Amino acid sequence: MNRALASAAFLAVAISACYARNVGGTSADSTAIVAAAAQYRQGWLNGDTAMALSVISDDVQLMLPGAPDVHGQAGARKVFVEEMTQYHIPALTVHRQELLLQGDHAIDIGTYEETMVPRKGATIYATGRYLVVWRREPGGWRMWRYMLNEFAPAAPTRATS
Amino acid sequence: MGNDFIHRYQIDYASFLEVWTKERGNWRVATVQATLLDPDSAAVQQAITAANARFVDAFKRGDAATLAANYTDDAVFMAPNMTAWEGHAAISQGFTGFVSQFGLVDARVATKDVILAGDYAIERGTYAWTLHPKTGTGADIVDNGKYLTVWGRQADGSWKIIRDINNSDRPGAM
Repeated sequence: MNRALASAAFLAVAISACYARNVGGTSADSTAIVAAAAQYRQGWLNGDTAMALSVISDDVQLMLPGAPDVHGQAGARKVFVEEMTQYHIPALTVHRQELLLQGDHAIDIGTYEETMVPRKGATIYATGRYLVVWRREPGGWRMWRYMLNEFAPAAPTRATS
Repeated sequence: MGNDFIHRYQIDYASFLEVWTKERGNWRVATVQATLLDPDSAAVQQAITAANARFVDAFKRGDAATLAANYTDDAVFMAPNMTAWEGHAAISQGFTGFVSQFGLVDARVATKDVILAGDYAIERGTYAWTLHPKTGTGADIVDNGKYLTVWGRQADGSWKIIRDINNSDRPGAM
């Protein structure tokens, strides 16, 4: 699996800070999605697989760089466990650029920066962009399609302090 | 499999997703997700398939104008390791530069699913292509990966791309 990119999570930025278009959606929907994204991010910061998975659809498609699609909760769980075991994520910053709501779906686009500290070796600083399709499901909004791009190969960089 | 599995099926204009869970030795339905399918979804998928075929054909011909015409004026194209192309001018310039550098030797685009969401159609698919550098002695670039494309219904009923993102399945690829 590509290096820890599944962990690129989302900062709970205020919805007013991003460009949100409601087409058949409500501000309550936007707020709920931002809250779900915050929960996902917190799951990664805590190394809490269950928390991160709680906002993942049973029908999710994770489309990560350097690897074929991963489908479903079971596949996502495997990726998350692998990465949370291998890396500690002390910092995640996400800049949401837009949230386009269309009824029971929402298109969430932005960029991320994350710090990944492996069990062994140098700290990795990764940056990229994401497009997530959220879907309204029983119990709330869930990540249903999840794709990441890297801006550049995550380099083995500065020594940790 | 283990203690849960997913059962998907479709009846007329609705698709169903059931999650079954084994509890104390008995299988039970934990959740059911029903999604109404737009009766037009087959027509939309057909339109997208046709647009993708035109896209590949234009790529092979090095026709940047036709490539760019697939996108709305405020579309955003997001490829790995490069700045996003935002808006028609940037997309047109981007494709012009790309086809001046590379020829498309072979390409396959396969749509995996298309879901209608109001005036959006969300397409998931895979690609495989071979690019031939037009200058220098560089080797052909063989790549395969996946894409997520958001199409927007236009006033005339046609569909154009509003957001487009992709990545390679190959570690370290472009």
